[in-house]
Amino acid sequence: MAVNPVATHQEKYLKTNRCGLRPTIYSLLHLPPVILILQSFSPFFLQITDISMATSKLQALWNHPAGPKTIHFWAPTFKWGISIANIADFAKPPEKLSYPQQFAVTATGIIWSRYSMVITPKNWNLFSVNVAMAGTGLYQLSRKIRHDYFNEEETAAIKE
Amino acid sequence: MLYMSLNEALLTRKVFMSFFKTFLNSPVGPKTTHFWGPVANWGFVAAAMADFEKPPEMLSGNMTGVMCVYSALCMRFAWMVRPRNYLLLACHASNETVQLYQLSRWARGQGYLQLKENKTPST
Repeated sequence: MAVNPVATHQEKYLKTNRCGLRPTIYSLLHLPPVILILQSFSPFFLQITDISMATSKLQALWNHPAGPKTIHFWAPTFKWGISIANIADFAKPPEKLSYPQQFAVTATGIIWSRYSMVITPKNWNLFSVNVAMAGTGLYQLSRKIRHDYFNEEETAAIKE
Repeated sequence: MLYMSLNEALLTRKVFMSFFKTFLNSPVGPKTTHFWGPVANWGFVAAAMADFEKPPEMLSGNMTGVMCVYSALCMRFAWMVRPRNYLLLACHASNETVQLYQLSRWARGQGYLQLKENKTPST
């Protein structure tokens, strides 16, 4: 008689303990304190025992009210484009950089970084993208200032 | 000569002050982040307007192109977010206009918007 796959799956499922871990040789994991500690770190330690659990988690993310089907996801995500464009402009000669634009990028980055920590809930995604903007803006400003104000001294010294 | 009676003057002052007070205390007013975030984004508009007179070789095609897409997305975001943020919407609508103008200046300077002649865009 062939092995009944449904029955063995049910057996395996029934053998899982409270936090969804399958019994392994590490039977200490069955101790209540360890279970409680593991439950607090559940996203990192839980095994997804079912393929349906995995797909339902993905589905939850896909259908999230601030998920990839909504503008609440794509507007902050595209903000990375500003930092990437600035990084692409690292190769530009400093004479071609624009003080007002880089100053606006830096100021926006600093103000939004601060306010993304003040709103509830804290938005780490927004924080990181604005920190990157402020960082690239500051670097571009430093390149242009160094070129405009410190190279002049060198060229003046050479002329003399 | 147009003049107001004392009553009318006091009434208009009262109306103005109450409007100002409601603005100060509103959920999208200057005491909240919903205000200062968009104010920071007006910096992009000011920067682009300051760059109107610059020669097109000094403009950054990367940054201007990204700004155009970014402002379009943020206009939609400002409309859909709750509370609806009209200040952010106005900011990004004007940024979109200004950035599209700068993009057209840059593209013309690069040779993209020429008639079909023997012109090639410079890098």
